[in-house]
Amino acid sequence: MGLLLIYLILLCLGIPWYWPADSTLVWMGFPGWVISSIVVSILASIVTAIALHSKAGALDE
Amino acid sequence: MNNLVPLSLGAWLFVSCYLGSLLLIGWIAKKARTENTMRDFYLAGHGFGTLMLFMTLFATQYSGNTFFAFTGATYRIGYAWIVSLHFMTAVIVVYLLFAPKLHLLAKKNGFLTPGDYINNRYTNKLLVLLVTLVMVAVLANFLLAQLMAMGRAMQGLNPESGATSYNVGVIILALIMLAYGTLGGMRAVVWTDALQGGVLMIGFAFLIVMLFDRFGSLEKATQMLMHVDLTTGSRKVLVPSADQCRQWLSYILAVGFGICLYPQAIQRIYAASSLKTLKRSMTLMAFMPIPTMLISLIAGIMALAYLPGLEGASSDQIFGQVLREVQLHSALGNMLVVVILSAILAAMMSTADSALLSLSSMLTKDVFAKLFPHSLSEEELTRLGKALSCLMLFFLVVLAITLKDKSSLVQLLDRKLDMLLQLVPAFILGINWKKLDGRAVMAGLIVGVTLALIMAFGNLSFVTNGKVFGFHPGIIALGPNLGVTILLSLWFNGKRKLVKNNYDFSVKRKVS
Repeated sequence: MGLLLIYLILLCLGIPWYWPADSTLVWMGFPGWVISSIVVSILASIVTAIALHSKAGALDE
Repeated sequence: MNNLVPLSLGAWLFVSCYLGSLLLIGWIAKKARTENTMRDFYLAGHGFGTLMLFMTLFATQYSGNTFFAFTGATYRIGYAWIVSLHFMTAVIVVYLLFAPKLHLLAKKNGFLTPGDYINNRYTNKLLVLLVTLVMVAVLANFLLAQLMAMGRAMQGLNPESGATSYNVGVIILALIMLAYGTLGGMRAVVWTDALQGGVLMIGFAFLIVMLFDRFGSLEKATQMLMHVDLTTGSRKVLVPSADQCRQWLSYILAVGFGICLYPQAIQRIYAASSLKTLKRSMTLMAFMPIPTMLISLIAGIMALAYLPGLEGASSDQIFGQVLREVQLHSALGNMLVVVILSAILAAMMSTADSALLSLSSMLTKDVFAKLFPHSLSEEELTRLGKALSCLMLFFLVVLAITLKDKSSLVQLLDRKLDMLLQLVPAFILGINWKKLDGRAVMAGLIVGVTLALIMAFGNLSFVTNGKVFGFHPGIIALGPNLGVTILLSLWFNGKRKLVKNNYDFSVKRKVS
């Protein structure tokens, strides 16, 4: 359940619905909302890697 | 790719040698064969190590087509296509739900096809047939699209010959693909996958560097597009609208659940040499969307800023224009484009070959062997599989040539994800919920597929651009599918318990 909650939070943060529609922030060549989306995606990858090891590791071969 | 500078004789020679090397790989893979069985041909015997499995999972998830189709998508909708980063990550998250358990089951029971799991889990032959039919329809569609893309790529390389280039391209590339696939089976496909994946990643990284060299920084391109957004009201750089945000959610769910249920993806889960190998490969895969999707996003943004003017379906040609710019920029750029083009052609063939191999394994094992059990030996079944590959490919090549001017017809048929999504209960729920009943899964699948097809082709007023309120029809249809599956499973379980209780009661009464 904890993992599902983490993914739900990441899903909510990854979609930029909460960004002001007229935001013109540009950082490192990308719009600000794209940077936040990329950061969330990296976090999702890290969580998945950790979950993959702990969850799959728990199974018996 | 109709905008390329015509290739020189040397460049054509390189492309021919590159494609010819695939035949050599097929021959080496044949020599590496340890036994003449279906398992060896379709799953490479005892399976792949971490690196090979990672490369083939990568090539399965990102075909050669992905790079320029995604560049075209970015060109059309702008930065909002960053959603591709999320839906490609979602694929690995969904694998987490079922792949480790499925791998262990496959090793224990010697699964070869997706139908083997369905048979083992539900012992329902009709359900095996139904799931196989859905998967065969999806794969045939997928294969046809790849063949047509191969023909168009060849037409782009030799535009003067027009339709002849397309036809000859489809036939020659299909023959090469068939030759190395039939020689080396899964081993040949995976080894060519690894080669193409590696060349494409390195080639595209160089391509981005060359684009920066040709046009300037990404910041400059973003600022230019931002200015266009602010003056014209478009949203290529500005925050996506509410409707686009809804579409993001739909894409994340549809691609996440759909792609990992491709039969060739399931067979790669079976083909891992161990759980540890699978786990390591998937850990690497979890980080691949970041470089891969960012490369096509940046290429699309640079094209949008500096090569504007293409609209609608013609925007898919933008990748050709980007390559042309790189070709004209320098001699090194010209060489890079030739290497990238060869790798793209080979990657398309490799992707198509994975689908063909999967298709032939399902038709042989889940259809023929189920209809005529014990009629053929393992060796004969493998030969039959190869013959079926030839037959299917011949049929699809004829179709690809016949439909070459009717791409819209193919787009209409392009409902692969909508169909695959209906298999979520059978595979993902089935592996995690012991009470799931095969008859309930079958009823849910029929409801889901029917609804998805009605919404996709029914010309309904509430369906706009193939989406229902921004959602894929497959996602909408999955709701009733899951509802029917879960409710019927609970009902069947309740009935079973009731029968068991009545039986216990009558036995106890007799004893007393």
